[in-house]
Amino acid sequence: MTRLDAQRALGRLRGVAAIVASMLLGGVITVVGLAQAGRLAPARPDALVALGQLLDTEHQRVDLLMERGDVPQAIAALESLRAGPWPSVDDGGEASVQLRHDAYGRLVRLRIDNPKVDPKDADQLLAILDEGIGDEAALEPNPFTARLWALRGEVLEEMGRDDEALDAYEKALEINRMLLERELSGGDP
Amino acid sequence: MSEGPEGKTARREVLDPDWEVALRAGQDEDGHAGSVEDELAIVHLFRHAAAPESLGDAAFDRIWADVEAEIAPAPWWKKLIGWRVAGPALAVAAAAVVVVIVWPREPLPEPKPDTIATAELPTESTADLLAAQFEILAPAARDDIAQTVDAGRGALRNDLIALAVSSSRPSGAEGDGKTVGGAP
Repeated sequence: MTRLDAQRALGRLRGVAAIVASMLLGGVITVVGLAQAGRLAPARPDALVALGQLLDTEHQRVDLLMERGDVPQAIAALESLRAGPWPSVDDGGEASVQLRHDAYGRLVRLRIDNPKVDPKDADQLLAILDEGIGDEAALEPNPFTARLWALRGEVLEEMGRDDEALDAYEKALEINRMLLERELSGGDP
Repeated sequence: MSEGPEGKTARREVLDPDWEVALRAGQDEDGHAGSVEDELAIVHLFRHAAAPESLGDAAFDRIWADVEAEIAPAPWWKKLIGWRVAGPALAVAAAAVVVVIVWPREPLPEPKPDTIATAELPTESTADLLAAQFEILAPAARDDIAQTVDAGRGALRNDLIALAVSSSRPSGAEGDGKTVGGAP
């Protein structure tokens, strides 16, 4: 083998090594990104499955109560859900957080629409909303979180705290705008 | 000598207004069959050539009014209505008829009992607008969550199957002679 052949072989090896390194780096970045966004499978799928089944049953129960016009019982059912344990985003994945936001949003919506049933003042409603929103950062855009922010804006507007209401509304609108863009682009951005 | 009076008589018969009266009377006797207007027009022309009739100011104005109505240019708004507006307006109206009446539409979904209050409100405020957006976006998001839960259920099932398989396999598969749980 001449010196020229050796240099060519070394050049090819460098090219292959660069491609392999790029693939590995891309894979690592993808996995880390998905993990950060909570899009990977939850650490405890049993927690998510149990929560999903529980909420499915409870929402059906609330539907039936509302059909019968039994608003107090519907609110009580959602309050009992609220009092129960909720899996963390690490255990149940992001889906479990969205399920929580959905349940809290339905509860507060019912409370705002029926202020005479088990009355709560605006501060108490804000506390429920803050509890529902939680402290999970950088959630994937979803309509349930947007609804919580919208409800927060509604309560703040009723309290006359217009600047804070505007901020909450803007957050909700921003999430919905991202969702709409995702729908129009035909899938995940 | 007789030509003069005969010719004068003939000329007088044609141009005499009585002749026109006699012509129309004959037409009436025939039951208004045929038309005598062409003949009368020529007679009027001859009569005018023989003795031009003066055109008074009032008659002139009346005739000119008719002429002016025909030759005067139309105002801009009439032209606009005639060509630039009427055409597109008709097209838009036709399209609206097609869309509103002819186009088949899917029935609106039934709102859930606890969402009636928000879904039926007009979107007058930001809160109403956001509530309406939620009604649109929520079904697809619920489907996504259901799929995720199903995937979790599948993963859980696989874990349980793997656990069952491993627990049913003798721990001494290599041939150490022991059984699971010390069973004989």
